[in-house]
Amino acid sequence: MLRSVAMRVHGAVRSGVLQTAVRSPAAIQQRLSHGKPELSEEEFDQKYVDFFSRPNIDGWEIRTAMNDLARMDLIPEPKIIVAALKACRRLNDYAVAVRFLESVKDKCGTKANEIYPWIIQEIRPTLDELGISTPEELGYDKPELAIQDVEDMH
Amino acid sequence: MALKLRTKLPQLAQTMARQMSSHDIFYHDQRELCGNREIVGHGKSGKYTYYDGHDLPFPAIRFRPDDAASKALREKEKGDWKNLTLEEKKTLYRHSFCQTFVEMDAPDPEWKAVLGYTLIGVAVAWGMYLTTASIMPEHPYREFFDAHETRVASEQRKLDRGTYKDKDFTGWDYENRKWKE
Repeated sequence: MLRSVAMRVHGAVRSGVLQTAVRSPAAIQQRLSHGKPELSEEEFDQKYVDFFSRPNIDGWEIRTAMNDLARMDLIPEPKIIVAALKACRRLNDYAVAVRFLESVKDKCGTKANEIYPWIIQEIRPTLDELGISTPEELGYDKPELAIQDVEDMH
Repeated sequence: MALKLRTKLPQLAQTMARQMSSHDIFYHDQRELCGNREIVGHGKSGKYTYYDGHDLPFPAIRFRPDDAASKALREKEKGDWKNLTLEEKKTLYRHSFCQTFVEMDAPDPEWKAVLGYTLIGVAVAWGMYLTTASIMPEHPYREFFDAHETRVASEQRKLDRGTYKDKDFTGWDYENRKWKE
């Protein structure tokens, strides 16, 4: 009991007294890796939006860009997703659109319950405009088909 | 596990054949293996193979070969997507891709079989040991080996020939054959 009270008093002194005295002057946002970033976040987003919005984009380029996005350590911004879905519409490839949404959900990782609904909310107008069903509406949030074991095939 | 190995076999076979062959090395893109599936992208390595994975959601070819029904559906896909039924949308997806992401992640119960076969092996080995041990006669000198006098004499011989002399065993008086005071 005495020990816990002492700890509490100690913590109160630390947080109340010491921190006001030794407070850091200001929060400074700093990028700690060496070298300059090649593109800022806005430039990166704009680059991909421009890429997906190109009128003469073809299936190879759209797939390559989506594969690249799936490999990067990021979740695509909703405006990139919107541009990508519109590119799918121009190329008449429905499966790629659904697959890309699945990939985006996969990129959310453990935070899928927080980030993915927000992304869907942001791109909902585009989904309704183009008639794209989300993977959840297609029932792809749960395993649908099992794959046959190749050892049992022949 | 087996499935993963199987999907890598074409690449492995090619590499092995290349290393073992005395002929010229040539690049084989496996184009004829993809049949009449539509080639839609670059894929993993430029070869015309299908691959499902989180790191590469879009493989080089569509999963299913083109047939009359799929061509008709692809024609309908060029129209408004709101006219597609749910079933057609799923068919389109499965025409291009084999597994969804959650199906890739689905747990593989193979480990249960592996664990079961391992335990069977352990049980068989244990049973063989118990059977053998129960029918084997005891060693004729077992009682003599385990006797207190035999073991004391054995230790005494070790001390006499200086087995422990280089091991900081300082409590023993080697001259008088007893513990130091």
